[in-house]
Amino acid sequence: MTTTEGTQLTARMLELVDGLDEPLRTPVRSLAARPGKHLRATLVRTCAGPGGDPRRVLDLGALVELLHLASLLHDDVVDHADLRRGRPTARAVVGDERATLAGLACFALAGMLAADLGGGLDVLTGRTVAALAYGEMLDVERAFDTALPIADYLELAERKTGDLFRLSCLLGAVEAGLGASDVTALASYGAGLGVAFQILDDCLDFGSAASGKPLGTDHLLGLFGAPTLFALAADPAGELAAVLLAPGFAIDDMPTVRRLVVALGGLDQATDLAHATYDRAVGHLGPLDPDLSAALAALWQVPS
Amino acid sequence: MTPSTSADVLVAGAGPAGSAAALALARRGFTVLLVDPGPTGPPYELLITAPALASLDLLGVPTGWTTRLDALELRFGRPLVLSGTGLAVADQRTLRRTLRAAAVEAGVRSLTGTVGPPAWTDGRCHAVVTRPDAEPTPVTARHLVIATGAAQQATGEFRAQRCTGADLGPRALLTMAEDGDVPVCVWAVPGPSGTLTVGAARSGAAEPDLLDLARATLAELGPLTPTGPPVHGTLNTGFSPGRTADADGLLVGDTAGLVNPFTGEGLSYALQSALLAADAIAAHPADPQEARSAYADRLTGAFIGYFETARHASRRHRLMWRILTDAAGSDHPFFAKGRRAMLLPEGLAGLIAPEPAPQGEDHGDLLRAGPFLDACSEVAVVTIRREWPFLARLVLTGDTLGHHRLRPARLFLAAMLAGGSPPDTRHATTAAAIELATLGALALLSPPRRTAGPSRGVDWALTSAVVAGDFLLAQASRLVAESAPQVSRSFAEWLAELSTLRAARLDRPEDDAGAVYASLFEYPARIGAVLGGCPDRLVQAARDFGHHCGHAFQYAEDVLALDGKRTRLDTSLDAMIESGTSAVFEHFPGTTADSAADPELRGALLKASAEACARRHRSALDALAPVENAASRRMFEHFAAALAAPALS
Repeated sequence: MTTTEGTQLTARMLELVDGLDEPLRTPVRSLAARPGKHLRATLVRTCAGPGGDPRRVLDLGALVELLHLASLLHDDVVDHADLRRGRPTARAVVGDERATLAGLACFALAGMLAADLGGGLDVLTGRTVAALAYGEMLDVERAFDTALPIADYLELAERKTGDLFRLSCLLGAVEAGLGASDVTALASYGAGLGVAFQILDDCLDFGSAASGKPLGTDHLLGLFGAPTLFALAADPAGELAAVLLAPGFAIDDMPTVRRLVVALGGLDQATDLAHATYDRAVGHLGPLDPDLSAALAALWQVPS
Repeated sequence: MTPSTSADVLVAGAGPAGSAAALALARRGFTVLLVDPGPTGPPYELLITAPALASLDLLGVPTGWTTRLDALELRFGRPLVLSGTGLAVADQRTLRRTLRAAAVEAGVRSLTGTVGPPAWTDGRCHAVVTRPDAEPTPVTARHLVIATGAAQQATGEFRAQRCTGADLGPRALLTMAEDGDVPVCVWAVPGPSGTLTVGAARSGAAEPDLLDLARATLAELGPLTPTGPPVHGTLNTGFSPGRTADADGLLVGDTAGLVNPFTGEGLSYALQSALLAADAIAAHPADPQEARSAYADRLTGAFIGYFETARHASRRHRLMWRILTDAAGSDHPFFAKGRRAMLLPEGLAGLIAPEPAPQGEDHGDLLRAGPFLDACSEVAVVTIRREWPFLARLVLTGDTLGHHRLRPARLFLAAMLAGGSPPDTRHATTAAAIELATLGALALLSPPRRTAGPSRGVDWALTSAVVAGDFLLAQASRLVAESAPQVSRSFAEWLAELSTLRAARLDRPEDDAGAVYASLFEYPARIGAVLGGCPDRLVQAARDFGHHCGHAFQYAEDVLALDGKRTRLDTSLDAMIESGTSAVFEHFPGTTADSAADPELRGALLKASAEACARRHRSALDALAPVENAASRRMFEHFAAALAAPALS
C-alpha cells in the first residue's frame, strides 16, 4: 500500500469510528489512528486490481481492518497486554470493561459497514467473524498444553488469522469482477498466506523486536507458537516443558527458552513450515493474471 | 437347555436405568424380561436431582423414601449456596430396590444372570443368559434395552463411602480438588443418623486413595471417619450420537455415557433416557430398528451435556473446569447461569412437563407459540452446542433472561403477530439470533473484574466471558445475515447502542440505570414487528412496549435482590451495585452495598423499586393501545405480567 493509500485508509477508518458515541469513540479512535501494516486492506486493494470503484475498495479495506481492530481490542483484554503497536493498549488506558465494550462497538461498526456495502457482504462477514471468535476460543483453551499437536495449532492459525486474510482476498477478487475459479484461487491463497504469516509472526519472538509487543508475553500466558511447539515435540527430556510450565516463569526466562527452542531445531522447523505454507498458498495463483501474482508476491516483502 | 424364554422387550441390567425402562414398558402393556447379576452394592447416599425426582413421578414411583434437601453449597473458592435446586438424597440401595420392586409389581419378569452377546435374526433378538444357579437360558425378544452400566466403556472412576464426623444439615456440598493435574469433583451428602456420604469422581483412572483426597478436601467439615465399605465405580461420560445409533439395542443411562462430565451425576439422565427408550419402543412396537432410530434421534436432540468433537473434547472440558473454579466466587449472571448449567442437570426437553400455564392463557395462544418457540430453541441450540454445550442448555430451557416466560423470542413473536399475520417459522432463526445475542450481551456487557493480582496465565473468568460473548454475538450476526439481511444493519446498530449505553453507565451508574435492559427488550419487539410486516404505528407500539418492559425488568431485578430472592439473572444486590447494574441509585443516590444492608433503607428501596416497576408495567400496557390483534395483545400482556410479577404480588 502506498503512503497516500495508507493515509486515505486511516482517514476513512477514523471517519467511520467517529460515528461511535463517546465514551467508546476515544479508545477505538486511539487504536485506529496508529495503524499497523494494513496488510489485510492491502490484500483487498491488490486483489481488486486496477479496476473497481476506488471508494468501495477503500471501504472494503476499512471493513477488514475494523474486524482486525475489534479482535485486537479483545485479544489485549484476554492477554492482559499493556502495549500494542508501541503504545499503551486500550485496556491499559480505560480498563478491561471499557476496552471490551470498545471491541464490541468496533465489531458493530464493521457490521454496519458490511450491511451498507450490501451484496451479501454481511453473510461473508458474519461467517468470518464466527471463525475469528472460534479461533479466539481455540487459542485460549489450549493454554499450557505443551503437547499441542501442530495440526491443532494450524487449525487455530487458520481460524484466527487465515480466515480474515481469506476474506480480504475474496472481497478484492469479487470487486475486481473475477470469475468464480479465480475468486476461489485468491481466497485459498489468502487463507494460506494468513497461516504462513501467523507462523512467521511466532518466529519473531525469537528474532528481533520489531513487533511492538514485548517478547514472550504469549509464553507467559501458556500460549506457545510454532517454534516452541516444534521444539517441545523434539524434546524427549522435557527440559523446555519444565521451564515453560514453571509457576515462577517470567519474561527474563525468555533467553533460556530461546536458546532451547533454537537448539532443539524449533525455530528452523517453524521457518521451514512458514515457507512451505507460503509456497503452497502461492501455488493457487498459477492460473491467475501474472500482473496480479507479481503484485501479490511483492507484498511478501512487507517486513513481518 | 431350558426352553427359550420370550418377551416383547429384554432389558439387560436392573440398575436405575434398566429398572425404570422395564417399569415404563410394563406400564404400557409390554411383556418385559429384566436380567441382572443381582447385588445392589453397599449402602451409601446418592444425590437425587430435580429431574430425577420428576422422572420417578412420571414412572408412578412414590418418593417417600427420599429426603428433600434445602440447598446445594458450592465450595470452589468462595462458598456459594444454590437454593431452589429441588435436590433430595436417598440410600442408593433403597433406590435400586424400590425401582426393581416397582417393575416386578408391574408385571416385569426378573431373572438373575448376565445377558450374553445378542444376535438378531428375523427381527428378533436372541441371547443366552448365564445364571449363577441354573442352566444357561436362551431368551428372545423383539426389543433390547442395554442398561449394563459404565464398566465396558469407562472414561473415569468414582469412589464413595459413608462416614461420620460432620453435620451437613439439609444441604449437599460440592467442591473441587486436584489429583495431579486432573480435576476431581468432591461431594458430601447427608445420610441418616448423623452420617454423610463422601465421594469423588475424576476422568481417567483413579488412585485407590481418591477417598483420602476427598476426606482431606472436606476436612474443614470435621474429623471424617469411615463407617461403611468404600465403593468403587466406573463412569462413562463418552456419549456420542453415533454410538447410540449403531448399538445393538437401546443404550440407556451410564451405558450410553449420559453422565455429567463435571460431577459424575448420571441418575437423572439414566431415568430420563429410560423413559425416552420406553416411548420410542411404544411408538414402534413391531420394528426394533425404527425404535432404536427414534430413540437415538430424540436422545441426541435432548441431551446436551457432552463435548462433541473428540479432538477438542478434553481441552474444552478443561476450559470449562477452569472457568468453574476461577469464576467460583462470581455473581456475574454469565457465571451464575453457566455454573448451574454445568453442575445441575435440567429436564430433557419435552419430557419433564413445564409448569402449568398461568390463568387466562389461551390454549390457542399456546398452540400458536409452541412450534415457533421450539424452532427458535432448536436453531439456537444447534448453533452453539458443539462449542458451548452448557450455554446451549441455558438456551434450551429458555433461561436466557431467567425464565422461559421472559425469553426474548416470546416478545418477538408477540410483535410479529401484532399486524395480524400468522406466525412465520422462517423468522425463528432471526429470533434465535436475538436470543443468542442477548446471552452474548449478558456475558460482554459487564465482564467480571479481573481476579487477583498479576499471576501466571490467563484470567479464566474474564477471558471466558469475552470469548463466549464474542462467539455468541458472532454466531448471532451470522444468523441474522443469513435469515433476515434486511435487519443486518439494525442488528449492528443495536450492538453499538448496547455497548455505548453500558459504557455510559460505567461512568454514571445513577443515570438511567435501566437503559441497557430497555435496549435489550426494545430490539426483539421492534424487529418482530418489522418482520411481521406491521405498519409504522404498530412497530412504534412494540418499541415502546419493549422499552418500558426493559425498565420494568431492571426494577424487578432490584426487587428480587432486595427481597433476598433469586433474581432472573442469578445475581445478588451486592454484585449489581458493584457492577453498576442496579437502579437503586435512582431512588437513593450514593447507595452502597454496605448502606443497603440497613433494614430501613432496604425496605425503602424495596418499596421504591416495586412502585417504579409497577409504573413501568402500566406504561408498557398503555403502549399497547394501537394493538388490535387479540392474540398478540394477550401475548404482550402475559409477557409484561410475568416480567413485573415480583413487584405486582
